[in-house]
Amino acid sequence: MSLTPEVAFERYRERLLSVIYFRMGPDLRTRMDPEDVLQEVAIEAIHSWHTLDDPANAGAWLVTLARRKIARILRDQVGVAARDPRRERAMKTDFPVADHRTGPATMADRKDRLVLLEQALTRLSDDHREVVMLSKIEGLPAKEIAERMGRSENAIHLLLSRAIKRLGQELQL
Amino acid sequence: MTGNPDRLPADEQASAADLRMAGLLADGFRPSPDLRRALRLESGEEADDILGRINVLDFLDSVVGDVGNELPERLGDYRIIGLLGRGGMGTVFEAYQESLERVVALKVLAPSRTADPRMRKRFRTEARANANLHHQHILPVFGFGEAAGHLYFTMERVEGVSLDRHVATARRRGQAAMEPRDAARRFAGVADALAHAHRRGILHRDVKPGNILVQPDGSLCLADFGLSKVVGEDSLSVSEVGAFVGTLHYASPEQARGQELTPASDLYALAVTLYQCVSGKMPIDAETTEAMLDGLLNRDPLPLRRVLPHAPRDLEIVLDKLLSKDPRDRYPDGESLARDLQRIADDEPVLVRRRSWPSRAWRVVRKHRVLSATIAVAVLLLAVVLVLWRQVLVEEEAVRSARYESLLAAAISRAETEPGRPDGPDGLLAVLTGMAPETADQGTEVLDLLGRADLQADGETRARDLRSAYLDDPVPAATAALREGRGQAARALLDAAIAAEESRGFLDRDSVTWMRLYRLYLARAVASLTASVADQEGAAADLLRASFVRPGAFAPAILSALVRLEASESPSALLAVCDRLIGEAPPGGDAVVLGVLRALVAPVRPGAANLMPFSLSKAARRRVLRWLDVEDGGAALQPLDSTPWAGGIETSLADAAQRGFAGLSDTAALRAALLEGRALLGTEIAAGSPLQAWSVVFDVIEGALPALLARMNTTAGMRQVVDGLVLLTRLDVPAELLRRSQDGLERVLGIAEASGQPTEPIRVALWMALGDPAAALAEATDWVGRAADDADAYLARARCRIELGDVTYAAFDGAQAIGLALDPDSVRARFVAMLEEAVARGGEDAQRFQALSRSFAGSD
Repeated sequence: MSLTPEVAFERYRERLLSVIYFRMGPDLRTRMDPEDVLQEVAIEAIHSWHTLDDPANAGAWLVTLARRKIARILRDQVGVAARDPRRERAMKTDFPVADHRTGPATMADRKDRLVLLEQALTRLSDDHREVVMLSKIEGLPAKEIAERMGRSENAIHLLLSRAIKRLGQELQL
Repeated sequence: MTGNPDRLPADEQASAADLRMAGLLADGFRPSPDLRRALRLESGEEADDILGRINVLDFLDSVVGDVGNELPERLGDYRIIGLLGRGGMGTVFEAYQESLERVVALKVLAPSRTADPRMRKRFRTEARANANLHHQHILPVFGFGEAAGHLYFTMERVEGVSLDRHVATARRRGQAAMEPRDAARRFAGVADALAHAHRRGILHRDVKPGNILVQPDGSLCLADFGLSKVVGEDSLSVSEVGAFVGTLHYASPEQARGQELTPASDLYALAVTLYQCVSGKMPIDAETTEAMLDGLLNRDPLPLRRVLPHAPRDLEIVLDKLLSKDPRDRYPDGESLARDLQRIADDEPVLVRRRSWPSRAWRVVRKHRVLSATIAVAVLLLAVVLVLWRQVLVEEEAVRSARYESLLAAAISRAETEPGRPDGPDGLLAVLTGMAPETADQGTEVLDLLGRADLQADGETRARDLRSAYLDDPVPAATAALREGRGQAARALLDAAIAAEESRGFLDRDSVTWMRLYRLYLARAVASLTASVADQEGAAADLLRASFVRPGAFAPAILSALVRLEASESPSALLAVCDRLIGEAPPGGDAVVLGVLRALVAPVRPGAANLMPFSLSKAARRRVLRWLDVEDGGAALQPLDSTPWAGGIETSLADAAQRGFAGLSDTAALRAALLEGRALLGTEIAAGSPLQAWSVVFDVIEGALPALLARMNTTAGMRQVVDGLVLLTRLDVPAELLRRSQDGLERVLGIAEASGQPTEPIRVALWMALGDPAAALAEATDWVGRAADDADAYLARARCRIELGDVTYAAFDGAQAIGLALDPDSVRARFVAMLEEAVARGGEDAQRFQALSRSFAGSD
């Protein structure tokens, strides 16, 4: 008896979409549809499901898959992008929604906020941006963030606290 | 990306607000109204700062999604493993209870509804009361609790679908969910359940189709007692306009008035539910809440026979009484209602007989029949055997040398317990299971002893005779027929041979001829176990005879134990039998057991091994298969198509059917195919064999649907028709044929469903052929809900999703199907084929399907 990929995917879908969206960045999003990436992640999840040791870690595991996939795509794309002189700079702001539960009004609202958030994030320092990404978008626990960023847990809480403040200023909330 | 410098200037201190916020975050911060209120009261710069940061967090949550409030994977002792359904009050998951190692249904109440601490208290009271309700038609509540801010309780995980699904499906098809008398019978159980609860002072308060579960055998089960009291929905607040028209339908007049609820209110709701099930309509209906309330309080309900003219008059009267505005005018208690409903159910014979799965009585009779038929034979044989063995030993001892005798005796006694050589008489098991026969020069102890005895022989031929009896096939023609799956032909030959042997009388027998008789009985048992004969009793009788002739013989013991298994055998009991057999097996015998078991759990499908479909449930098969995986080291899961049975009887039938499909426009070809099919069924397949279901396929091809209807007067006939239709959908049926037969099939399916037969596979195929994948998806989802561990269901749904372009979810269903399949490789091949078809069709999703197809085809 174990968690099925479908249930796990259903639960973390929102989070995965957010991670993919943000980690892709506007440039990559002109070339690839975040939904395609999501599908690739889903497929990979299905095939490597047996490597998940503890169902309790399914969320973090899926997020890692997503990040790795995007990193790979970015690596592959770098060569392509450099060679193409006519890169479209139009930002793809359509937040992919395969889920038909939310109504159109909420979605449009959400799209606006998404654009705002992304722009605000670009104006943060690298550390502040990263801690917000890892903590609020990828949902990692403080311990892991601390490991990844090479600081103590307390330092992370403080960093996040400040990042939130700065973000609030950028968002003019 | 550029931005501010990485660090704050060294001289900038962390502000008090920075630190305070950091502290909140470290404590696992969750924004709550209390905290906000406290901060606003506090006022001052710091408090404002914190409030501002909380707003930012809210903003982040709103954009990114409800990441924080996710349900954890584990709630206390329960690990969530699946989703069963989403309801108004919460979600029902499938969960695994670690401590008791069982699967349960876990209902988690939506957090928004349970924030109030008073509600928690009520929840506990209700759950406790519920746990003490034990009734056949009440879904058992195991326990309750709270974890991670979520209130939950656990129930028995039963297979089945909630009644509102049935009602919705029926409405989609323009039918009613149940026949009146059938409904009366089933709801009698629910009425009784309510009576039981009422006697213990517990009201349900929310009787409606969504709270009634339909189990696979058709019986109804009431769930969620008292829950509405917990979440405060029992007295309707009319101010919430619009939200309530749905629930108002089942509300009683006193409920609408906000009065105290009584047992009669539950009965009222039951009446509405019953009314809805048999007619598809509500007794009182309106568009708006106000109109609904008015009707509820002031208008009379629509008499049943106005919407359903052929309904029993009695039922109309009962419902009318139950729907009285004054609770005192309704039934005094659930018991009297149950009795009346039962009377309505029993009154007149229905057009379609109620489906009844093998009941206990039938089981007992069957067992006795086997025993009584063979007891006479068995007793006779036993007596004879005992007498003659003694005689034989005395004679031989007097005449032969001691060494020869002792070797021979040793060989005989060894033969009694050895599993035998796969290519010897016991190799008939290999014939049945399709195990590869071992090489001829693998010796057994018996052969070894006989060889040594032969060396001692002095003109003595018994050792050699016994050796040939031990090795030679009985009636080679019969074995050949068995290998082709022609069980009837094999049995006819063996009948003749056995009659000949037995007619020689039981005197002057020696061990050689006992061995010959043993092989003949065993061979005939095996022939009886082929799918085309399917004579379980005959096989049991022959196995009994064989084990009397060779008392310690292992092969008859295995087959007997397995033949006696019933459809209702629980998987754990089955595994206990498997364990015992392996444990008792002589050296080398365990391979035989495993081979037979593997054959036992194989699914029967066109073109597959010609095995008798032992009536094991899918759940039992899968348990055994997993067990085999452990015992047999993965060999169990290899596809059985590689056995010599690929050319079995079923392949011939499938071929004939395919030719029939091709010949729909060519009468000559059609006639030829039909002739061939029916001839095969007439000569090669015994009347009682499950393979006779193929006749349904040919009936459909011929367009002889009235013939099908005629068959559905008995339970067995009905089952055969459904099995036949399922066979049909597994073949490559041309859409034209389905379209042509649609009306007839609808009638047939309607009758089958009214008796509780599962017909989803057929409906899915029908809708797909008729070009309505959305309807097919709905049916497929019902099927998945009803049989959650059936690979075919997931595969069907995957196909619907592919049609609708829902690539990702098709992938999940495909993976799920492969994971659940008893034959994963063939299921994977089928899934990939579906994807390839989608790719070939082109369109905007073609690329995605291509990617998916590649990933599934490439993996192992």
